[in-house]
Amino acid sequence: MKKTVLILTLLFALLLTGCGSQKGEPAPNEKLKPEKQVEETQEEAQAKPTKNREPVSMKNTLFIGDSRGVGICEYGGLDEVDFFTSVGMSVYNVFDDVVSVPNVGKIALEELLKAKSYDKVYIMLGINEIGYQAEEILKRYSNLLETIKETQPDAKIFVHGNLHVTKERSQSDKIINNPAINRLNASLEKYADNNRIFYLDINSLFDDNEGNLDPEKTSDNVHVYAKYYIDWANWLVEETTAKLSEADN
Amino acid sequence: MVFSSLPFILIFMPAFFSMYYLTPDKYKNHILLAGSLCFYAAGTLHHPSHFAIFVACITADYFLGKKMDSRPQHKKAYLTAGIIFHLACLGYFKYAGFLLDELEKMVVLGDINIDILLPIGISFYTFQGISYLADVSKGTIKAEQSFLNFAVYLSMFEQLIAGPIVTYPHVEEKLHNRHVTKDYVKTGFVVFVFGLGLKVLLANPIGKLWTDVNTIGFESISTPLAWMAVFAYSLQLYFDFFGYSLMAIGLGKMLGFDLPQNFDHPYLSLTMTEFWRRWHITLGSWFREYVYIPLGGSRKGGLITVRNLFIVWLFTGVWHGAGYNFVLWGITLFVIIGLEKRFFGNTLTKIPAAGHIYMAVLIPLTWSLFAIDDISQLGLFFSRLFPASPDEVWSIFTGDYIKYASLYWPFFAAGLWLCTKQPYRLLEKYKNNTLFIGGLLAAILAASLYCMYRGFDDPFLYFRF
Repeated sequence: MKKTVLILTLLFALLLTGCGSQKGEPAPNEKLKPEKQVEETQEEAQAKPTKNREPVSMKNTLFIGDSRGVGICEYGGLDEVDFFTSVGMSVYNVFDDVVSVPNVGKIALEELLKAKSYDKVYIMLGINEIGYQAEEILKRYSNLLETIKETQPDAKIFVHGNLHVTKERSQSDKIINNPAINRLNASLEKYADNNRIFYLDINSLFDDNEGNLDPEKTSDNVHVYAKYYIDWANWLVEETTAKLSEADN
Repeated sequence: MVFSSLPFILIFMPAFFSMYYLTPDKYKNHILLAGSLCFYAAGTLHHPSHFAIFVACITADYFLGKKMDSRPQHKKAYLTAGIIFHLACLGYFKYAGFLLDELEKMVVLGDINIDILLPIGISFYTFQGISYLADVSKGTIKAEQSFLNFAVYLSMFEQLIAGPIVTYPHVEEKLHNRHVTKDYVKTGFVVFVFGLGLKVLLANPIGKLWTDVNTIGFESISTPLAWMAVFAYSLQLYFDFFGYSLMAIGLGKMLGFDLPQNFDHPYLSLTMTEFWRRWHITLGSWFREYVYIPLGGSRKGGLITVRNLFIVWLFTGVWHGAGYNFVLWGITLFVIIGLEKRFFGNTLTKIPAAGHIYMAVLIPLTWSLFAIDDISQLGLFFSRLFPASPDEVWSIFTGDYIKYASLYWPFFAAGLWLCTKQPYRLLEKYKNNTLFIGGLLAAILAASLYCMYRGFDDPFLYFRF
């Protein structure tokens, strides 16, 4: 019996190590990744006619976010972006948490902001703190924005609205529901000056016709299936390009 | 109210057991009945009809049992009436919704919007009621004359909502005459806490991996992650149900009863046939005693035996849930067990290493039929388990299995160890070492309470039954 357990354990370990040896192989489905962006400098972008702006490069980009941000990091194909994301992240712990940022390592946010220079910083926070006092949330959000402005003087900041939940979740949860999410998003939208800070509304992409997260796109009523993060990433690039074009105008 | 909840552990248990232990033995059944009905009522507050049906089942079985004794010439009719009553209740609550949905898809019936909620425990107390009537009809037992004692048998809270399925002969003596000793209380509490730990500290967290994979969507997971997830589900299902059964057995001991064991290290089995003698033992016994043997068992030739086995496994599948996947699951088990009996079961038993490897693959595969309701999703999941080409092994997130392995490996390690007999032998060896057992229990209880307080608990998987 002991031998058999040992054999099984070894087999299980072999399965994992065997898979580990494949780490070097390229991921399949390259076609699922967003199309490669044309590199350009900020000066070149500003000099071009704004109506037909080339899609922005996602290099020198930071994305700060919660579990949905983790999803974009893992399944969105935006390999050039630095993702400071973790499950449960909120404006209450964004400065305290040490997060493993791919290609950077374990780092706190302020340390990261001081160490690197970004052209664009996205912030997608709100769902995990939605049960707290709105004033306190916005005070902390403002604090986060100020910190980013100070440490990243050249960066455009994109306030990313929070994704809706499904109707089923919205109707059954007194705290995390779409009216509350809409109120928070409306408050966050006010930060946008469309010059330095922009607001992005993801819900146009994933809502059903009643203004709730489409239940066909989710299993847990809160997160979209991983296959949709590619669409999310593409949308991010398109919306960013559009917003910057408008600003150039 | 579930056993692994703060209201049950911190409110119901202290209140109920204080009253129970302070009550003289001859009134203990009164307290137990009152407590059990309160327990069930707490779970059916928003659906009083469920409570009414439960009371109706108790009443019907009691009077039918008495009638069978007093008018034995009509006992078959009473037995039939009782079985029809029970199966009608179970059939309506468990299957009507599904059947109507299917009918709606096939025929234009208009917009039928019926939401039928399953009364908690109905699958278990239905089987107990039928077993009681069958035993009275066979003459195995005499009908219980005391309504109180009978009501306690069917309603006692420790086994009411999720088993073990206790037959009347098993508890008859203690129903009429029991004295709860300190040893019983101590052992019962130890077993209860151990079961709680298995459920809250192991089953719930490792089950999150299966939830995570469902959230990601099967089309986006790598093959290693698919296998990890289905192994995680297999461990979750086992420790969820085993843990809950231990809690029931522990509570039964604290009440003065010796409830039957429901699991006997099933993941050590060498064949699927052996597995189903070790997994949910009381369900297997029930089907053998009240379906397989009355149909003739294996006594009437090969074809009849095959028919009887098919019926048992089909009903086993359907008992677990209303859905095509449960039918498929039951039939798959029938085929596997049939093939084992006919061809290679003996070989697997003689070569344990082969048997263990065979079961290590087969158990998670059969559980995936159980876990995935949607047949198209089932096909998709199997395509992840068995990719058609090397290109299909990986997902866009190439390190997905590494991430989840790093998160869940302690639970896999603990789960695999607890599938063996070793930890239980250790517990047996040190059971008289008060310091060790006390320390271990305190740690398990404290950790479990903390997890429940933080909301890390999940509903018991078998509650949909």
